[in-house]
Parts: sequence; structure tokens; C-alpha cells
Amino acid sequence: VRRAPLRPAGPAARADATLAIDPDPAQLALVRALAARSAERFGLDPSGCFRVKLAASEAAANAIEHGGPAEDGKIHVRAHHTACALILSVRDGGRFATPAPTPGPLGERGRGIPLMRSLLDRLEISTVAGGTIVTLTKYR
Amino acid sequence: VSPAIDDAGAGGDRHVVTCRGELDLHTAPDLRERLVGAIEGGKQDVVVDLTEVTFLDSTILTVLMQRRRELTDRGGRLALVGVRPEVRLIFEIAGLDRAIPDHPSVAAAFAAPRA
Repeated sequence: VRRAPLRPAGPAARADATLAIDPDPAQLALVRALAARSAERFGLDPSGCFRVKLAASEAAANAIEHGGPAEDGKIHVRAHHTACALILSVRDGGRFATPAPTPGPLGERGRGIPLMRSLLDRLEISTVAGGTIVTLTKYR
Repeated sequence: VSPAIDDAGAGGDRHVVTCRGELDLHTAPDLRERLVGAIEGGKQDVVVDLTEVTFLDSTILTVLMQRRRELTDRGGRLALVGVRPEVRLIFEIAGLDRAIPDHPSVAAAFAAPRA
């Protein structure tokens, strides 16, 4: 497992938006709205924005379903971008278990991680003190 | 559009589940219960109308694929209606765009010959 950067890479990075949600699936719409806004500001076309929105929703759903809240009872979502990359991170309080193998074409479970990998350019899963951070990157 | 799911019998062993808005982990249990209820009630020809659905996530794909399997095992079928291009993209990325047939209308779905 590669370490995800905990801070934006360099002074060009901008912290665009952060969101702390309860570990409740009803909160996923908020995550999607944040992701879609960030993708639009980054300048992605509608298809790119949709991919970012879906990947962020999958990451947050995983955090809610499998990770659980961080020490403060929340799941933390952060979106920022540099000149060339949009970076979304989701931090939860869980220990990331090895995902199930990629399902076959008609497999019925374990779709979230492969879907996230297909949607964006990079997916990193980092174990940190007190939890896990999933970092999704979309390059321009 | 706030998410909502409705369902109703359509005569005989036909059943229609109509969805709206963004479907995800939050709405998946409702969709699952309605589909399971219909299948356990003997419905064989089940349609999920996605005309007004703008987003769905992998938990919804899982619910649909599981019900498709159950229906196929019982000699029935699951069909979709009105899949929008952005929703089609999700099926394509998951490699499922040919797994469940998509029709332009509920009437067309029921009229399609059973495989």
C-alpha cells in the first residue's frame, strides 16, 4: 500500500472544500454534490464530472459501510486541486481489509473498488493512525 | 429530484418498479425489498423503470444483478427501461451493459419476446 499525500503537493495546491458527514448513507448526496462542484471548478467536462461524482460516492459509501467513523464520529471528505490534478480524499476510522477479487462479468459483489479504479486515474488506500484514507486523483 | 421508488403490479406475473432521482446505498434496501417482494409473490416479468434516474452506485448494480439471477433461475426475467446515457456509463464501466436488457418504454419491455 502506497502512502497517500496527507497535504496538497506544494504551494500551488488549493484546499477547495471539506465536509464532515455522519456515517449515514443518507449523507452520500452531500458527498456527490461536493465532488461535482469540485470537478466543475477544476474544469472537467460533464462526463468527467460524472465520473468524479460516482467515484467519490463509492469511496464514501465504502467508508460508511465498511470503515465507520473516525475518532470524532465523522467521515471526512476533502477535495482540492492543483494545476494538473483534482484530488479527493475520504478518511474513516476503519482498517481497510483486502478487497475481494475483481468479480467476473456477472459477479454480484465487490464492485466498488474496481469501479473506482476504472473511473479515475489513481486510487490510493492508506492506513493512517486511527483509520484509513482513500485518495482519488483525476489528472487534467 | 428527491429519490423515490414506487412499485405496482402490471397484470398477471408482470411487475413494474419505478425509480426517480439518485439511487445509492441509502435507497438500495428499499429497491431490494420491493423487488424481492414481487419475486417472492410470484412475479416473473419484472421491469425497473430508470427513466427519471440520474445516478446509481455499485450497491444498486448489485441489487439488480442479484434479482436478475433470481428471476432467471425461476424462468423469469428482469428488464430495465429508460436508462440515461450517464447511467449507461456506470453499467458499461462495470462491464454490465449487456447483462440486463434496456427498453425505451415499459410497454416495449413487456412486449419483447422472452429469451
